[in-house]
Amino acid sequence: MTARQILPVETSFWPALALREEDIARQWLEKMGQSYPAQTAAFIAAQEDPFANPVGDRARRAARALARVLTTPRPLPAEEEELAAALDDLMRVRAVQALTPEEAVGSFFALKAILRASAAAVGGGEEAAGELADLDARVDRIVLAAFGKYSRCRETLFALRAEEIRRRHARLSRFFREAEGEDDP
Amino acid sequence: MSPRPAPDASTQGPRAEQPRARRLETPPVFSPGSFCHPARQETVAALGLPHPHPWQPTEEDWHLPENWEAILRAAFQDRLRKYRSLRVFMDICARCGACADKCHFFLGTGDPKNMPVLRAELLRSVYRGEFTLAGRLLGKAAGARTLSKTIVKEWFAYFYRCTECRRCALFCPYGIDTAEITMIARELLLELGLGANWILEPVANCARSGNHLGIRPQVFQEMVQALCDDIREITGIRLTPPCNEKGHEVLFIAPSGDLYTEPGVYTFMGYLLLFQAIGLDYTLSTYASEGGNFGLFASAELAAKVNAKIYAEAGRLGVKWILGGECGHMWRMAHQYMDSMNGPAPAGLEVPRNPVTGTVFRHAASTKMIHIAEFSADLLLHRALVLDPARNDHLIVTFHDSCNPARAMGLLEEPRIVLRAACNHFVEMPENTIRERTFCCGSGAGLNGDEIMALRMQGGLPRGHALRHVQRHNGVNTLACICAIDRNSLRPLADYWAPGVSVAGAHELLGNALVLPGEGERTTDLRREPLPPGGAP
Repeated sequence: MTARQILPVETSFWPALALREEDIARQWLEKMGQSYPAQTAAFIAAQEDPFANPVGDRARRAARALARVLTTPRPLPAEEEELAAALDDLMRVRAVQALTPEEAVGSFFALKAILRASAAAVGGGEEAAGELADLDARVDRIVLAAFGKYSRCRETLFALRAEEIRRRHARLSRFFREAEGEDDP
Repeated sequence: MSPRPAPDASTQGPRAEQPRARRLETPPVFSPGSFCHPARQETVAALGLPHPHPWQPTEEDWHLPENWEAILRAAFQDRLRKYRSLRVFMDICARCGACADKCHFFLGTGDPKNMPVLRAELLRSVYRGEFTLAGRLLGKAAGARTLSKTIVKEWFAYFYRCTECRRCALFCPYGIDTAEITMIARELLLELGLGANWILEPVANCARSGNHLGIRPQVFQEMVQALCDDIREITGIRLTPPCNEKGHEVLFIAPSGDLYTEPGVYTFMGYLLLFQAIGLDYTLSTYASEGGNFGLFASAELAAKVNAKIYAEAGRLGVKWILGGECGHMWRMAHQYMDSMNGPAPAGLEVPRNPVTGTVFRHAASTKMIHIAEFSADLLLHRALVLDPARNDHLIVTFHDSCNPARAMGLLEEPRIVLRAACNHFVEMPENTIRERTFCCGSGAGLNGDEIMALRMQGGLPRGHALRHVQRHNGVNTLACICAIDRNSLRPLADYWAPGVSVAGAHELLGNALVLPGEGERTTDLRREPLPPGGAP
């Protein structure tokens, strides 16, 4: 029993959940790590240098931003922006790795179970149905945002291929165009 | 290492548990975007390589020759006899794991078989099984495997997911050069007619026309002229670079990408402006029209074959020494293999000496060939160039150390001398991602085909991550490099990982800043983009 749990639900739910912010981030990070083989997941979790472990760095930043936004009733615009940027960074990685779209995006659904378990732990059971429904809806929006970013990354990838082919012969193409123009005015 | 927790089926998808002990038994997966296109039968035949045949990595049957096991065994044995280093590398690894997390492909893909120790183990296990008594007697217990078609497929999958960047070798306490293990594995695959088209086609083009794109001499000269026309419009100076002329002091050889692709062409314009500024007595060559060497990514024989034109042409033209453009693997070749593969240098060549400063480049006493970054740095250290770095004031520049110049020849400070002189705004990326610890672009060693763009982006993540960091925190908008493959491959890398950052060769930026006698007032940079009105961005 924490001190906050003896307060009425409508006033205590969010502050109590906020106390579990770090725990929620940690749990989600663990879930996300399950997309990778055990040895890789252990490395991603353990190496703290952001430049020696870019996937871990991006995942940690996303986990922190997710937990921050989902443990407050009305996130600040700066927190929403941080989440959008962190999701963008993470989905850029997930969109090029050997993951199916379901795997790349699916780990965000795990937030629902993590949040419900956290809510239950702070006494937010049936009486917090409104808050939980709100959280579910927000997780849904996050999943959609992640999927949008995933799709845009895949589009970018194909655009990069096309652009590279064009650029590879850019000067030669210009040369031959000009040569043809001179030969056939 | 802790085992992976049980996946939650509702959220995690179908990834299978992959216990460490059985990793070598997990067959490779050839999903779209993860493998190089196979070399075409005609290309393999044109190079006189064994067993040219059509095949597809995604098909079950790769149509190997009937006696493929005997061929591989003999080829492996031959390399073990020829290269003492290979036998040492096969025997000596203590599996300490120092290299495991240093590979950009492991960091980007998360696939443990991309850990250098495990990638090498794909070959090492066969070495144990086929060539050591302990391996033959103890089998799996000694980490040994005997040849199988699955292993051949595995080699093609993973040795074409190594860019031979040697970052892992930097951290190996024994100094095992994993790049050379990859080189040998690729050689073994070639014995079965299995190669990557993106590598062998440029080699075949080189054999025919002297450069990777297969450009004929007339077009080469026309392209140089076209760049001179651009330079004239930008600076008002008319250049007439000598080509194929005997009696000059220097033979200049650039990677051909600098003549045909963007943004390499701006770097080539920078070279020409530099030579004009100091009145260098040089010639270009349509015979030695390529400094790059994709043969190095296929086999020692092909590397030597592609590289032979450099000394042949230097000798024919009677130059005193050779100057090479901004290229990466050209310098691994020149610095570490050229002497033994193509040497000794023709008799008339001398130890390179800067005609302006008098500096003698004694480290190149044997090869007679130096990199343009060291040449320019020497000029700058002697204050032999007049520069207006404010012309680059719209750029906040960082530098990507290309793997080969950085790790193979220690060219760390010279390009920075050039950049700091040419630009007022220069920022370093985090220290564990630069200099000898630099991260690969993810597209080296012939892995720059567009069919593997997703794989390249994974391999490029560590570099992209560091670039994104300085973009966010320092406003970096330009990534400079001294490698032609980088100039091409860092473009998509930057567009994907740090959108808004452009890519430039160091000599493009130097060319922007160079003040030449007799030039008109410049209103644009070499890309014809307006010069900044003045002041920091």
